[in-house]
Amino acid sequence: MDDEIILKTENLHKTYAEGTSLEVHALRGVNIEIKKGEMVAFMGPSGCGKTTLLNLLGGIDQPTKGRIFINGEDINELLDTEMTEFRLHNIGYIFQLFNLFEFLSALENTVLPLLLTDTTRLEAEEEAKMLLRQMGLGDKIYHLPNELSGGEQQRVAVSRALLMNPSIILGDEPTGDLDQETSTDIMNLFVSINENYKQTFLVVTHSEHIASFCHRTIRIIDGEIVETGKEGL
Amino acid sequence: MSYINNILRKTFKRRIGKNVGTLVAIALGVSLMVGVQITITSFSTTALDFFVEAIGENDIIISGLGFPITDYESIIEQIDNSTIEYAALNTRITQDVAAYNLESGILEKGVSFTGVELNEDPVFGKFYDENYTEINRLQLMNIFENESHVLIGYSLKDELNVTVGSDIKIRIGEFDGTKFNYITHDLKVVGFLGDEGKGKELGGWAIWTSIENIRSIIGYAPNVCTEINIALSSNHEENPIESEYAKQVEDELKILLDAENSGLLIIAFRALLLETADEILSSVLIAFNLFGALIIFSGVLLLVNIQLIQVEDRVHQLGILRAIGSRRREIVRLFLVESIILGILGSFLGVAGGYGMSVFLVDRIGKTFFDSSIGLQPIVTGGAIIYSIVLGLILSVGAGIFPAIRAAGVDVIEVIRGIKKTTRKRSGNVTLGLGLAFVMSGIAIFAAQNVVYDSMFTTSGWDTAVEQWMFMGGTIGLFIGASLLLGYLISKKIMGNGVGLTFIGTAVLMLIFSLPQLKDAAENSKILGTLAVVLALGSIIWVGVNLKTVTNFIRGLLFKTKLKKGVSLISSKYMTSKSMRSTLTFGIFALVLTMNIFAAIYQSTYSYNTLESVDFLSGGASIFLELDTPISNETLVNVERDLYALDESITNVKGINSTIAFIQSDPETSDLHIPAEIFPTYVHMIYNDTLKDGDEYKFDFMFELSLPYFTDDYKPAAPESYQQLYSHNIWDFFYNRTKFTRDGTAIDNENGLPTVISTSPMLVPGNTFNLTGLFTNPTEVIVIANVRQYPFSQAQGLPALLVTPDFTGRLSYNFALFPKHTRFLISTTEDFREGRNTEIATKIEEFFNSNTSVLVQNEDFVAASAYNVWDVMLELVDFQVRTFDFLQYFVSFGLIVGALGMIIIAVRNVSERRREIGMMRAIGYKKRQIIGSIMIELLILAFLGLIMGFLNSVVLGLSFAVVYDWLLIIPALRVLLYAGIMMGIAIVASILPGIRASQITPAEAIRYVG
Repeated sequence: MDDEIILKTENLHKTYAEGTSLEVHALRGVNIEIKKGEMVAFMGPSGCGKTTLLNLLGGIDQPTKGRIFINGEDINELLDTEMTEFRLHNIGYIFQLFNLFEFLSALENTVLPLLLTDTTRLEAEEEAKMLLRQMGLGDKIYHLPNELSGGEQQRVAVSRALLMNPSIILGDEPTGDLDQETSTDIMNLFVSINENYKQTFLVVTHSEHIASFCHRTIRIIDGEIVETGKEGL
Repeated sequence: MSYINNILRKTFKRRIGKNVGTLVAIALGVSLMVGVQITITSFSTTALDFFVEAIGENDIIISGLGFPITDYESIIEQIDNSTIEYAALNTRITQDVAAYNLESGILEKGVSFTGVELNEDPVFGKFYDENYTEINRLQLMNIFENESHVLIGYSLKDELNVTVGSDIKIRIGEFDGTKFNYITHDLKVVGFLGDEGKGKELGGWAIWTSIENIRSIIGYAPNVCTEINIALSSNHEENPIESEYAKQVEDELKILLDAENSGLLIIAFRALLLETADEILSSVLIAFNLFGALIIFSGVLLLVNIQLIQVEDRVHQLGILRAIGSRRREIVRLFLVESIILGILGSFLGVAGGYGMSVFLVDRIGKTFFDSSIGLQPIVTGGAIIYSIVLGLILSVGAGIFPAIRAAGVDVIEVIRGIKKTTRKRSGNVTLGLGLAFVMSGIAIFAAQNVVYDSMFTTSGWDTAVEQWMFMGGTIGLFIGASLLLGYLISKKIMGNGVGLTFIGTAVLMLIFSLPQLKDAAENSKILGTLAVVLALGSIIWVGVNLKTVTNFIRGLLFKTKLKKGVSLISSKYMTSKSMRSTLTFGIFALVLTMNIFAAIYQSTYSYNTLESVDFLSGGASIFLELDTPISNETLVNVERDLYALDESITNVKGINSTIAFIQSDPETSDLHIPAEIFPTYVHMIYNDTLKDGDEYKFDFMFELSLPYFTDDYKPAAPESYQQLYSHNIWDFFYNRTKFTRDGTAIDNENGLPTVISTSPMLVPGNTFNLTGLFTNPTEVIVIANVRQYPFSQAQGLPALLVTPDFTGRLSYNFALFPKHTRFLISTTEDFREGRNTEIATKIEEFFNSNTSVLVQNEDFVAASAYNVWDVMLELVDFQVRTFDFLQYFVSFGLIVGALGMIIIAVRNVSERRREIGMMRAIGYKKRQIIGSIMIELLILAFLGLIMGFLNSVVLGLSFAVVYDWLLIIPALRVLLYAGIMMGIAIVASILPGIRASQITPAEAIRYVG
């Protein structure tokens, strides 16, 4: 793990349905700092703002107030196109429900981000195949999602998140739909990647077991950070 | 049960925006269907009204066709003493005359100079003056007290440019007991008739007097009339008379009055006119129905498509419902209830939309087919509205059944796992059963055809539409059955390909090989309509089955462009994954384009070939002259001698004898396509030396090239010299031979019947029928060829026959002034198209009709009409072009509604894919890439539709070209225009939802579960 701060938030607020009777303060002045190569778990009760925070950090949602710096760059200053480009190259997303395209094979689901760059199709597919083989899916690269088990689908989702070699990988309850054994496999995979490639992992989870794989745990209650955990393990 | 209702209510409210989209789509689909129906109904009704108003209440005419019916009182007595019941009866004397206005120098021909009984029953029409005030009997008596005083019909008044007090002259035949001698008679206009009242059309082009006056003018005895009219009902609207009954009365009268020997022409006039109108309408309606069927088909595709989206959008919800215990039938009901609600509302809206569509189309009908000043209104009856709503409901609910069943078949496990997959595995027993059923039905149809028609694989087994339908049904049954069985045994893809290729193959092969076997235009159109639908259906199925292969290919091409591969991949793959919906969308594009491009190809091909061939087929007669009566004093004018002096370009003038005769046939046994057993026809008597000077042909008419009855080795595509030689052979045959058979053709004249040549598709080679004049015995004749010479075809819609001179005796009464001529073929040295032929034709008319005419000055005038054949053809083609322009309007509505439907489908498509779009944005797809992926999908489908629509249109156009021996003309600019419009529609229909999709917030979209 590096001492370099890769991600930092300042007074981050997110309010849904602002100004209406349904107004919800999902985040209230969140300040966090994440170091490069760190694995961090976000924990807290349902509705505390974990996923909202992850979405803001991933640039797929906009804060109501506050700033987010990734590699020193204020991502809220980026235009939509710049943000999308930034996300493509710097952030990998893994969802609880895998969010694979049902009509694409494992290979096609994985290769998608690289096909949005100027990489040739053959090169992109070669990289994706290599990654899928590393994930233990070498014999299932042409299978559709509904032909794969939950764990396999999540491995495909992980492959897709890793393909662009992003500096930050966000996991929104990435093992929430999986049994403990498969969850452990997936987390071991994260740890292995983290150790080998020094990528930063931010994982939202309810599970202490899953959090135990991370370097530290940040706890959120009612949109506020109540515990930042000790840095490093 | 109540929880389903509860869910239904809640989801219906929550999805109100989407349901509005579905509702509009249903309304659009129904609008198309209703609009087509109202337009077709309005067209038929208006056209029939047009005829009915012209007829008045008259049902039966007993006529001497201008010749005297003597002792008519005894005829009326016989009718009164028979069992025939009638509402009213009158007697009239009518003569066809030319009228001349001395002041304006205007001469009009074909005017009906009619004498009526002053106590005539008003059901035959009342007299109204130009202020629409009824003229009573007393006033009529005053008007007609003077023998020369007459009333003039409203349209003749305008054309002749007369006022009250104008002096006019008519040329009328004076009967000397055997024939008419034409004299000039002076009349004075004392009043006009307005266009009011029953039978108004027949009164508009007439000069009216009393029956006594006309008897005096012609020299008929008091017991003579020329026609007896019988009304079987005094008000046909309230008490309609069935055509069958009228014809039955006609038959009774024929026996009662011994029509065969008395020479009386007895016709159920009203029934005949209505049937003729039906016959004429049917050819136009076939085109309407063909395009109407395709439009309705695209409406149905739109409905099924939107209903499918309804299901797929809610798969997750359905999975949960199934998981918590809902039965399949409850799911089906859930969807059906929604379909019914949306169907009812959509149908009501659709009726309104369809009415709006028909307002425009029906107005165009009036301007195209009837009178440019007529502003027609759509005719909508209560029954039609109920029918439309029920039809809309049936179709929208029907279109909802399939998706509902799909919804009920949702795979619970997959759905709960988050995979939108709606089908579950089937046993395949249904496929097996259907396959066997299709094979059996195919065999049964073939067996029935073999039994009924004796022959299946020969020309004679294919010469009616029914035989070809049976053959098509049998073939499709067998091959689809085989495809289903292969599908059961091997794979679904083979089955789909088999079904699609069966439709395409059957349609294409029949269009090329069997359609040309039909010699009759009406039969041709029936088969063509069916084959067009079969072809369109086949192409949609085939592309649908192979959509994956096609899109893989297109994706390969897209990968070679600068477009980001991630965009190409996701859009093409998504399209393939929704193959049913994609196929339906493609189907709408393909159908709409097939209609539009085919209409354009046909219009261009028809116009080009008709005009290109006029010169060649005019036989060198660039001008055609018609006189209303023969010239009685040829010392004043001898046409064949004097016209040469009129213009130095005139090189040849030949007269022929023409008259009206009647075709009689037995409808039970005859295969003629005339609408009644007795039908008027123009007969032109042609001498061998009319056309030839020695061995040289002065007028060289060509025979119908696409009907190779005459020689087995006829070559339709051979050069003009061959066609000429072929035609010369037929002329020689026409004059010199009478007994012959042609193996393998319809002509069998072993009995040596007199031969005639037809100018009409109603009468084709091999047809036999009786030809009869007045007071003559019928002569059985056989048609040996169709001739396409245009001068003879200008016969006011009636078929024309060319006969040999030996008919003189048989039709002597008709050729009253034989050998004097009333028709003349004129050749000039002028260029056929660019030359002065119109100017020469005008000179010829002036020669006969102007004040300076020697005939007029000697008060021995005839009314002459001289036509430049090229101008006539341009007018004829122009009418056809306008007809097709109208069809273009008609099909354009398919295009507009298709476009709106596309937008709705695309919008719904996006809202269904909200979650996926959110995923794409999360992965790193830019907004413009999202828009691009949405657009590519629709553009690919539009492009496929364009290709298939173009191919279908070319195949259909080619079949026409083969049948009519035409050169296929593909109007590149118009095809490009339609292609552009279609791609434009695809762009518009996809760009709006694309923009909407790009604005989806990924964080929210990912949480979306439908």
